[in-house]
Amino acid sequence: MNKVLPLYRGAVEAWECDQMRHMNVQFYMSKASDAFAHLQNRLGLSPAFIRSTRKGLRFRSIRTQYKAEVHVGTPLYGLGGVRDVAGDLITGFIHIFNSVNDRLSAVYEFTADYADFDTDTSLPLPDEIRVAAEELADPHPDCLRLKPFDGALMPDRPLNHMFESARGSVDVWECDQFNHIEMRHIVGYFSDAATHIINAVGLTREIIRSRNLGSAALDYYSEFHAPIRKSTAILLKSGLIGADGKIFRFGHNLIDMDTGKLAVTTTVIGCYFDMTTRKSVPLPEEFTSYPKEKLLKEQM
Amino acid sequence: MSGYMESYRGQVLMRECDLLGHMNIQYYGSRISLAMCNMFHVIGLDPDDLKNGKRGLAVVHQDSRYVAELHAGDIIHMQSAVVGSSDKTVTIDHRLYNSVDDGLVFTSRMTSAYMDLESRKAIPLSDAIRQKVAELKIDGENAA
Repeated sequence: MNKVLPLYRGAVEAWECDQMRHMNVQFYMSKASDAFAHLQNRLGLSPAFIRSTRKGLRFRSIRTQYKAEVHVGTPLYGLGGVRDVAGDLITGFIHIFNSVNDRLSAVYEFTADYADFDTDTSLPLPDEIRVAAEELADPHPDCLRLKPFDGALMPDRPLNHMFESARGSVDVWECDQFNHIEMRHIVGYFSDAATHIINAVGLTREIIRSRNLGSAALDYYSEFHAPIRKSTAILLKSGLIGADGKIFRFGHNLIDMDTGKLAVTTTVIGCYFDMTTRKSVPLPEEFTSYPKEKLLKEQM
Repeated sequence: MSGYMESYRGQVLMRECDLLGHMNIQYYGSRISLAMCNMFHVIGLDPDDLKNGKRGLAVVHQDSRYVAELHAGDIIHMQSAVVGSSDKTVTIDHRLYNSVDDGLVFTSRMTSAYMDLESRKAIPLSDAIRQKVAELKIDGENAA
């Protein structure tokens, strides 16, 4: 049995590319979500079963590493599989490739549990799903396994010196059939925050443009603590963890303002690059001169 | 099916469903658009040419058939094949399936003209594309 599964095939649409002229991170997530739906089906969780029981797998954590940018019109495909089943937690991966050159564009490594989508409670993995997952489980030594995340991860608590980087409410068209926000739109909040982060360190879009700079996410680690439902008021708070050489680190706390609960914590590693050569460059001095007492790493 | 290859794999989103409770017709078209990006690559239409605004394929005729409903969360995939060509056009047959049971849900046969994106006029297929299309082309009548 081939345990590396074909889970996605599509392309980069023009409207999925941002001002950096590459596919925005939220659309990587939408493609990974498509892949996750196919993986669930291979585990016995067909769409009809999920709709009728209103139960299925949900992400508990996602590590995303962006390996190579992709541009408008690029055909893509996705492969994935299960690495491990431990207790009631499934660990798996999704790799998104550029079909033109088979180059790996993004890696998703995730943990997922079985949940009731109405009560938002974690449930024991049903026996038939466990058996299917265990049959698919494989270390997959030929499929890239990411090294542990480099540096400290955001704790699931408020930190000083975090600033408001996005605010909104969850629209109907951002939700799935269970009235939960789609994963794409969660990542969209982090993407929106990028411009506010630029402002927070003392830069403006005009300065960035005049220096011919773009910014790119390299590595994300997200933990999902609570569901985000339709119409929820959302606040994203962010802070600079550190900035050194070519690498900056940011932390995000996505807060459900209706409940006051911290819904998602995310740690981001990113860089700046020359928009012409598409190569990374040293960080703008505004990042490296950011007041050290405001860096979140002092509290982590 | 011989000559058909996977050109799209994804799912139906809630926001793509209309007041009838099934995927609205406009989103079948979006899947064809994605499938065509893959078929462009297969027939040798360089993405750089597309991106740089030099050459592209634009649909000039389409026959579609809606066979079964799709609902929010359904997983789907498309198989496509080259079924015809002329001096300036390529005809591709697309078949969309429900991935759970491989049931056919939609077919669409599309003829696209090879375009110069500066003059906005149809032009003869390049020799490389013409050769690739000839290699891939299957019996279009039997594929109908």
